[in-house]
This record gives sequence, C-alpha cells and structure tokens, in this order.
Amino acid sequence: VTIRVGIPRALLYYRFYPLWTTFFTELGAEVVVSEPTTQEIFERGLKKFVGDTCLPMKLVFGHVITLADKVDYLFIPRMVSIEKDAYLCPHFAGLPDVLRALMPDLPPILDTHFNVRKKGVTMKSIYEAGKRFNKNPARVYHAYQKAQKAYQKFLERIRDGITPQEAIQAFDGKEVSLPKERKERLNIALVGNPYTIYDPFSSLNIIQKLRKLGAKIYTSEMIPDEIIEERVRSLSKRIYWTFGKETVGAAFHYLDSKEIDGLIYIISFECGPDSLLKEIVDDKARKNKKAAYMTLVIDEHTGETGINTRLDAFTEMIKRRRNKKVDTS
Amino acid sequence: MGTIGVLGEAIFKRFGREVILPPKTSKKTLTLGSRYSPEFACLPLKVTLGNLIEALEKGADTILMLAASGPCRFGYYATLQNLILKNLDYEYKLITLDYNMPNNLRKLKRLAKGKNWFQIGEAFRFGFLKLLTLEKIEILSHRIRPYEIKKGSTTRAYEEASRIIKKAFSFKKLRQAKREATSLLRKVSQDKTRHPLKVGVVGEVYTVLEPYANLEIETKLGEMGCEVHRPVWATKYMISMLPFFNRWGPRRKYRKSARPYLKQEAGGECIVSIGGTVLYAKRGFDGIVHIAPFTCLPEIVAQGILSKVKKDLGIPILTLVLDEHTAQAGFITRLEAFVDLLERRRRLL
Repeated sequence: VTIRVGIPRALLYYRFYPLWTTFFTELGAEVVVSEPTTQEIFERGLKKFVGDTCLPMKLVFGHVITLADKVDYLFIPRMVSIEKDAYLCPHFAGLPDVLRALMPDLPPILDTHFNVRKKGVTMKSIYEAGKRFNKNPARVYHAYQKAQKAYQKFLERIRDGITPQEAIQAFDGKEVSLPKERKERLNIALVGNPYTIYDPFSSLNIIQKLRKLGAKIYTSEMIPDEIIEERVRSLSKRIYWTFGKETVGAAFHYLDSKEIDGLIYIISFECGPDSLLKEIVDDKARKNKKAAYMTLVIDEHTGETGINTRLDAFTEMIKRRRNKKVDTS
Repeated sequence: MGTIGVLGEAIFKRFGREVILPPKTSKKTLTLGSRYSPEFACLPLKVTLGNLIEALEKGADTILMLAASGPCRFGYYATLQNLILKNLDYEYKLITLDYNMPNNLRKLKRLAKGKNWFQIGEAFRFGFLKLLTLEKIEILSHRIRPYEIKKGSTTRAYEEASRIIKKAFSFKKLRQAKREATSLLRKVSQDKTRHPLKVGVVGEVYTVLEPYANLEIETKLGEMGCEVHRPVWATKYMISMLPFFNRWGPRRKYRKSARPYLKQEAGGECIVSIGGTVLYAKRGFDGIVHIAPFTCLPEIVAQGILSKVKKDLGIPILTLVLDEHTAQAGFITRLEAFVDLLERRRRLL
C-alpha cells in the first residue's frame, strides 16, 4: 500500500513543491496536493483560526482541512530556517503545533524539524524527513539527490523568465503557454513573499492582469542568489528573513537596473517582516527615481476593482514617463 | 523599555558618561513614534522610536540599542529606526549590542573611557543589582496591592520606593535604599483576611515590561484584588540573551513545560507565554492574562496554541492585543469582566 502524503497548496509549496514531491515519490509515497485556493477553502480555514494573522497563514488552514480526509500524512515541516544564517518568519516555526492545537482531529503531521541556520543543509535533516518512508539512509540520500536535481531544474526554468507557478506546471508535465511578447512591452518587477504573489487567490491574479496590460513580469526568483546577497550587504545589518532578504535584494536590483520600468511590492496585511522592510524599499525608491514604484497591501477584503484601477494607473503612468523621456532626449 | 533604562544609566554613569534617559513614555511619545514609523510595525517599535526622538531632542548624541537576530522583528529595530532617524536629519552615533560577544566587549571597552576590565565588570554588576533590586520591590508591590485597605496607597508607596532606589549610585547607597524602600512598602496598611485571586500575566516582553504600553495592567489587576505574577522580567530576559544562559538559564523551565504544545522556540517570548501558562495552571492559578502588541509574530503563534492549553488545563485565559489605539475604558471593562468571571468561577469550584 502506498502512503499518501498531503501537501497544502500554500506557503512554501510555491518554493519547494518540486523538491518535496520528487523526494516523497522517490521514497515510494504518493503526493496529494490540495486544490487551488477558492473562497470556500479560505472560509473553511478562517472558521478554525484563532487570533489574527496574515492571509497566507489563514489559507493554510483551509488547505489542510480539505486535505485531511484524503491523506495518511500531512507534510507540514517545521521550517525554522531554510538557509544558513537566516530564518523564516516565526509563524513557520510554530505552524505544525498551531495546526495540531486548533484542529485535533487531523491525520498525523510530518513535522520534520528543519533548521539549517547554523550548519547549512546536513545529512541529518534530510534523513529526518525521509526516515518514515525508508529507513535506509542511502535510499533517502539518493532520493534527496534526485529531488535536488528536480529542484535545480525548476529554479533554472524560473530564471529563464517564467513565474514559479508556471514552473510548477511545467514540472507537473503540463504545457506552459506564455503570452506573446508585444513590441511595446512594459517591464514590471514583482517582489514580495512568494506565497502571497503566486497564489492567484491572494494576489487576485495580479500576474495575469499585468500581462493583459502588456507587461513582462520579472520576479525575485529570477535573480541569482549572489546578486541578492551583494545588494543587501549595503544595509547596516543583514536581513535575517530569507524571503525578506530576497525581496529587498531584488527590489534594490530592479530599482537600479535600466530595463525595468516599474516595481510593485506586494505585501499581505499584517506580514511582520514586510511591515519593516517596506520602509527600507520605500526609502530606496524615494532616492532612486529611475523606476516607478508602488506597494500593494493585500488581504482577504481587497476588492478586485480597486486593484484593477491601481494597476491601470500604474501602467499608464509608466507609459507617460516613457513618452516624456523620448520627448526630452 | 520599562526599567531597563535604569541599567544603562547605572553602568554608563560609572563609566563617567553623561546619560540622557528619554522622558517617561507618554501620549506624546507614542504620537511622535507612530507618526514616523511604518504603518503596520508593531507597537514596541513605535514607542521606542518615540523614546529615541525625545531623547535626541533632549540632547543625546549616542544611542545604545540591543539587537537580537531574528526571527522576531525586534532584531531589525535598530537598523530601521536608524534609517528613519537619519531621514529626519538627526545626528548621533548608533551603537548596537547583539549576540556577537567579542564584538560587544570591544564596543563597551571603547565606551568605558579608559576604565579597566575590572571596573567595567563592577559597573555591570552594580547596574544589574540595581535592576534586580527594582524588580524585587516591584514583586513586593504586587504581593501587597491586593491586600491594601486604601486603594492606590501601594502604588504611591511603590513609586516613592522606586524613586529612592533610582537615586542610589553606589553599592552602599543601594543597600540602604533597598531597606528604606522595603519598609516603605511594608508600611502600607493591609487587610490580611482577604483571599486574592491569583492571576498570571504573560506575553511579549516589551508590552509586559512597559507600563505605558500595557496601560498599567498589573496595577489595575492588583487594585481589582488580584495577586499578579509574571514570568517575564528584564533581568531574566537579559540573562537569557547571554551565551550558555540562553540554553541553561531561566528560560529552560518554560521550554520544558511548553514542550507538549510547542516543540521549538518560535522567537520572542512565545515559549515563555506558553510554558508560563502551563506552570501557572499547574500551580493552581485562577486565570491568565496574555498580552501582545497587534501583529506580534511570536505571540500570534502563542495565542493559537494557548487556546488548546486553555481546554486541556481548564484555566481561563484572556488575550489582550494592544496597539496605539487601545483605549482605557474598553480595556478596563474587559479586565473587570474577566476578574468577575474568575471570582464566580472560584465560588463555583
């Protein structure tokens, strides 16, 4: 009998799905992913949640509920840190415990402890994740190698200019059709937490909207890590949130680069790290007038029309700026 | 933050530096702070920014700040506030102390104006002792307040007592001040026949320590007839930031008792809030008040988990989320209702 492992289509799914899926499939498990977010999924999760938090965290609850009766295990790793010398936001470290506390009748949660802040990724943390499926460390390591390969391919695809969402589709073997590039295209960079931007529900499908307005999308995943590290070094203290660092590094990079016309920083309301980092990006954008800049704060009450208006205005502004530049030169 | 300024003052006076403490946190501080802070930043950032602005206005030229490194937002305060203050055209020098101990010691040596290491050590010992004395007096006031016959008399005595201690700047004076302060508090007339409710106050460190931020919750609870206990203290907090003590120091017992609910520290005081609640419940407390600033990351995690602790151990928990808009009246009503509930519950049990 194959073991079914459930992965909620939320949070780190948008970064690690290919890695996790390959890993579990290699070890002989079947991976079940929850359906794309809908209003219903969101509301089911909201009923269970206590206190207030950002939209992505509320969404996990909905996804977990829909998965609960379909799987043997839920994979909700305790992600304290996914790279050396950096953390994720504290919610990730407590997530499996909070889920268990608020929803006692869930299937067992695989809460692999993942903390690589001090030593980087080690054999031990990998074995920890895989030992429930295969006790043989060599097999686990082999599966990890394969998973890494799939993950690297996923990252490569993104760097070639598609979004993580589309790269996941490509990984699943689906056809990815990119809109035809227009001559008069706008180059717009989107930065922010991946789980806010790439979930079409929470970001109100902003990527498709911008494309319809004639934009080519650039994301922080398209920039190599070295450049991001280099860009954030100008700050007096290293940013210790992985996604925060990527956001700020990418924002700095895009604000300085010549090919980008506009930068949009997407924040979910109540996001802790972003509430501080916004100030830093704002400051940079104020001092650097090359690219247009806008922040969108999003939560479950954000209206579609409001976002449409703002995006229209933003792209319109970029077009005017362009024409002006042509006139004066 | 709360009484922590006292520590800095005591140490740097010994180094022969002039110390400018920001004026007591007030409405003005908060207004100043929230005007220049990012909109969704947490309350402590706004209040401390206000404190810094007020201190700079009073003529400070160097700012000393602590900075942990994640995952809670506190670690990034210094950097961000520096950015904001520089944009407001203030001129000063920023010194941050973090987990990098050798580096910290070097910075301190430079600040110490040619004092040798022994003198620096003594300065720290004194500062720490002074803070500890202040905390002891505060604990004493929490024990006495529910028994006071005339409402407000303990608070008045406590204020006088802490003033006496704050004025002491040598070991000898401190000992005297302690005796004086203790007897002052002991003189408050008490009705020992009462059986006060036992309430634990847990939550995020800044809001627990700074009376302005928590609307003097401990005084209020005390005057409603509750004996207040809390796991978070400035001295304990600082000890657990030091190497070795972060593992084996005062946090250890909270980590242990929180273990069935939270297996991993999630930053900030999350684990202390949970562990503290569990310990208090086991010691037969009547209720817990959990306070946190709005959007506080670690405490939201704690809040979720506390709802399970509440069910498992059958202890009432009131979570109060604070921000710059929190109003006195509503706050008091909620506290009164909670204390009422505890009283009834006790009668039923």
